[in-house]
Amino acid sequence: MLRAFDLHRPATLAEAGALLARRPEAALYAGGTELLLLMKAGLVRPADVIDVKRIADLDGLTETDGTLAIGATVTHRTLERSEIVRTRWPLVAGVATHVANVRVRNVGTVGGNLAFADPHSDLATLFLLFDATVHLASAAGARERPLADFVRGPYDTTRRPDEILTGVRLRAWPPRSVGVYVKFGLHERPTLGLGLAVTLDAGDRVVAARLAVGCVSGRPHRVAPAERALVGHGLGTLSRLMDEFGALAADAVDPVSDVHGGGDYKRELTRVFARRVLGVALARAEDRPLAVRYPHAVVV
Amino acid sequence: MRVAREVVLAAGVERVWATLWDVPRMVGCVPGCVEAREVEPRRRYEARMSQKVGPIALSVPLEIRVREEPPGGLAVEARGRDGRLAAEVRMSVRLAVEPVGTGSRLAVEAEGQVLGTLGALGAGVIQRRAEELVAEFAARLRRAVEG
Repeated sequence: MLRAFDLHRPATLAEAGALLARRPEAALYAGGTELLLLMKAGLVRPADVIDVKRIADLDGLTETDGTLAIGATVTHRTLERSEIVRTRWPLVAGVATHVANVRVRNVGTVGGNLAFADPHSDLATLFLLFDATVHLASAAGARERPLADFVRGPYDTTRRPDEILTGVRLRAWPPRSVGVYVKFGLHERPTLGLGLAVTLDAGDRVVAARLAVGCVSGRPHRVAPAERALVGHGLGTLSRLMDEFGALAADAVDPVSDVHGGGDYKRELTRVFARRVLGVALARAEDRPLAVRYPHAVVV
Repeated sequence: MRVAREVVLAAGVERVWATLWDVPRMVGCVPGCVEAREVEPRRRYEARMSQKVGPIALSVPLEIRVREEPPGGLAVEARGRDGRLAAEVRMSVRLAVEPVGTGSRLAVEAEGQVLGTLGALGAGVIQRRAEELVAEFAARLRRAVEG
């Protein structure tokens, strides 16, 4: 049951900022897919709820000079169906397609997802592959943070109580890049999310790699040692690096034991799926059809 | 939830115990602990523990009992309930201090449970927070006894 609260519906960011400055304890509400669960369970009982969905310009979705700007109130469903995202950012559209279920995707927002910082979520992990920056605004002004610094831990971000997350920006990969995102889990929320992007030069050598691991540790993070291990290798030798790559990824996580599995299990899962994402990326780089299916996993 | 930690302090055993038994100083070492009071010296205490994880704020009035005082150690139990969140907290903490050279070594062993919806939702988060709390306790205690 929901307890009584005052609902505020600001139409502008300035109004919302002024409201939050006066009531920093207020809960920000967009899709409500996370907040309402907590409110119904009685775990969060805000006296004030600020609905940010009516704020103009928070629902923009535009691409400019290789940067995709996603407004905070853009829903997963919008991301999934957007022509720009589907054609120019297929990995993002593909992951959005597999977020939770269609009811959640219809109302759940990108900003809400990032601000709530549930460790068992996909977007923050995926966006680390695109050097994402998070944009915040308050009555005191606007600022941006790299996503890597924004998520501090489970349900914990560097957003100040008086700030609103206004959007996130992703930077496109250089030409000749391939990417893959795999999520694994028996529950609706993933147990593991792993993203890999590899950029090749004209001679098919890896010049840059990005590996992001989510859901396993308290916060999603990149794995620099595993990324470095790939750089300089040609497509021919990459397949021999699978075990080393898996081991480096497994070493880098700091797994949390919870209902999704024990720490040791999650570390092994990371090892196995790191090898697999490298295999998928390699097949994509060689333009080779890959007909693998991993039980309980989604490969995007 | 179970956390164990050892810390070597540049202060003698007596000084460490004096700080641990000094309620206001002890409270200052436990992150999130406020309103502590002595009910029965060296036996019973009351305190309030507040923690915030993301949007969820927990505030538990704790009844603390000293169960045992084995040589060089202390075993404490604490229980409490956050009525609003219907969350019950049970903790047992063992402390042991032994001399090491001119200083001492403190071993903390904490075991606890959070029952109710909150416990079911956040088992992983609670373990992580407990580790942070014990680490912060050790750091603050170091400042208190060495400073």
